Amino acid sequence: MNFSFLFANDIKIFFPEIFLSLAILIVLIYGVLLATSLTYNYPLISKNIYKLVLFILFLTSLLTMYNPIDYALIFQKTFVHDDLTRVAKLFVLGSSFACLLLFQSYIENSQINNYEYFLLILFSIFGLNLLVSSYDLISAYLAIELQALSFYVLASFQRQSVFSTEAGLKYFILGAFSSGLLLYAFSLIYGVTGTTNLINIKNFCLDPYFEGATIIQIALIFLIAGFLFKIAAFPFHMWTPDVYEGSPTSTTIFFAIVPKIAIMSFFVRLCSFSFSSFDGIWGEILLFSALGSIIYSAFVAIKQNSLKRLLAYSGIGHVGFILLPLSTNTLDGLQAMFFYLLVYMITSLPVWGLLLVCMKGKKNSQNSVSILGGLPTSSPILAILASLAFFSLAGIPPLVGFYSKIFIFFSAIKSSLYLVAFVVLAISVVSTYYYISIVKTIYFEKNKNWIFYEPVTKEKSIVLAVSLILLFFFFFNPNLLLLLSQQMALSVF
Amino acid sequence: MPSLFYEEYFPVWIALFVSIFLSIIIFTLSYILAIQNPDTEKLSSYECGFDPYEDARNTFDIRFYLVAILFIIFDLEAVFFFPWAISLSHITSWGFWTMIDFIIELALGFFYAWKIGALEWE
Repeated sequence: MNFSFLFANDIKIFFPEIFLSLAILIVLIYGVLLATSLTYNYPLISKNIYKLVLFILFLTSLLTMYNPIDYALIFQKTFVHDDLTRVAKLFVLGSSFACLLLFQSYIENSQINNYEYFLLILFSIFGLNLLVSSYDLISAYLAIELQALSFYVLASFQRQSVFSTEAGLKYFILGAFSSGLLLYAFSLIYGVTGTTNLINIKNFCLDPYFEGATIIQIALIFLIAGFLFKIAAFPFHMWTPDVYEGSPTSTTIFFAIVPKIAIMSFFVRLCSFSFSSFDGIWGEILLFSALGSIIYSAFVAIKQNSLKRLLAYSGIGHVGFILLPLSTNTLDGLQAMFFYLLVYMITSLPVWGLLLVCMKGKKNSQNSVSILGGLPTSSPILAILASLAFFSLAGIPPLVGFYSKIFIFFSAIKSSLYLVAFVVLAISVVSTYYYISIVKTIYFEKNKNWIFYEPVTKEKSIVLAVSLILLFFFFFNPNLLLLLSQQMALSVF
Repeated sequence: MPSLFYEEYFPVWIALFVSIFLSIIIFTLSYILAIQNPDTEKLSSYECGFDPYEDARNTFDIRFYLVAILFIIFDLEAVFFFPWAISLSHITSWGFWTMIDFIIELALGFFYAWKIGALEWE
């Protein structure tokens, strides 16, 4: 029997991922043949591979954007292709393209000469793409592991630095442990329902004669614990500052910006689509975690001297904001969550890009907040960029961060979570304090010595400028982001 | 019913006695019939080639870890080969080419590991 006719359309729909995987394999072999060849005198190919990787990301995003199919379940319902996957994949690819543009000069300065660095980034992007479009517990676990394994090696890439090794080891242990928790939850769900497909699980849970409700509740607790580890939310956030501080800065930026949308997309599919009948359970847990993240990060980040750790703690706070509307399980909540995610990715580019501008050389000791103090004298435009980016994170009006926070509050109030909205409003004042204190450090701190910064390269300046313009533009005309987040929220249900 | 109990567990009883008896035979025969010339090297405890009773704080050679990782990968590839080989008639040519795709990807990984020098022992 000839089976190939069953999957012909699936391969056409899945073409961006197939292209990405073939490109990874070809670049791997090309790189190893060149880098170990005696005839070319063992050349350093990392710059060439870098440009090749940028081109591969550009082509993949073109293929993703112009995919002619709107909705399809492919490979016997283990993968799905709808609006959510298209937009999430485009944002993953676009933000990783911007991140790669940002950290080219950092890689040269810190002498990360292995071309495998970019290949690992491509592997993790491939894993994230698969995760976004997976509709089955097994394919999701494989995609999570692919992405996580690439991240473990990326975190420990600088072999001479003890910090980097420590960060990679901590991340590996915690990531493996959380994958174990996830796998236990998946096995419990499979044991009760007999299927791993999200549609079938939803049909089982909605059935009035379903006997396995208590076991599903236990499985949901393990599932949420595993996912909260991965996105660094409140009770499971402990690894984040150490891993972010120890990894090479380019890896930290990649961690902070790119994976959250993909992991949140699959998590939203699990919670709001498959287990929507259990939303009392996971809604309360996520609400507790969101509140805890926001309150914890607001108070702890005040005392931080190291810029990387401060940004890591503020990232935990943002994850709290992202989880808050998800716990309401409404369409408005999901739209607010996706809007906040998209805005967070756009805002993180200048904020984390600032770390790259102000770090010279490879020492982590130049990490303190006070090195931003020389910005107004040496480059006033960068000072304005920095202060506007932090204002957007804080949620101050003529920037789009204001809209994202407002939508979160609206969705909380629509679901009658009045006390929660009030508490989050009060706590976000506290988090505004430490963002404003960074702006105070930029403009009002007196330095004893002159602080010299690296000159900003052309690619970095384009990325920083475009993201800042987008921050202003989307305040006055947020239609594009609203439309995209609405499409993403609708395609979950 | 007691007779069913003894019927069910009688083979276990037999296996227990046969194993005890066989091990006693082998042990005593090897003790009686072997020529024994004790030597310090032969009598010392075995520790995979390292000196026994030494300080355990040697530098851990990364080669052992690499060998273990590569073994896991290619051993699991062999594990996937066995059911594929048996069920090939059921999954016809589609299954054949899918497995060939899997083999090609792992072969590319093997080629990479070879070229980059992960298989060199020294």
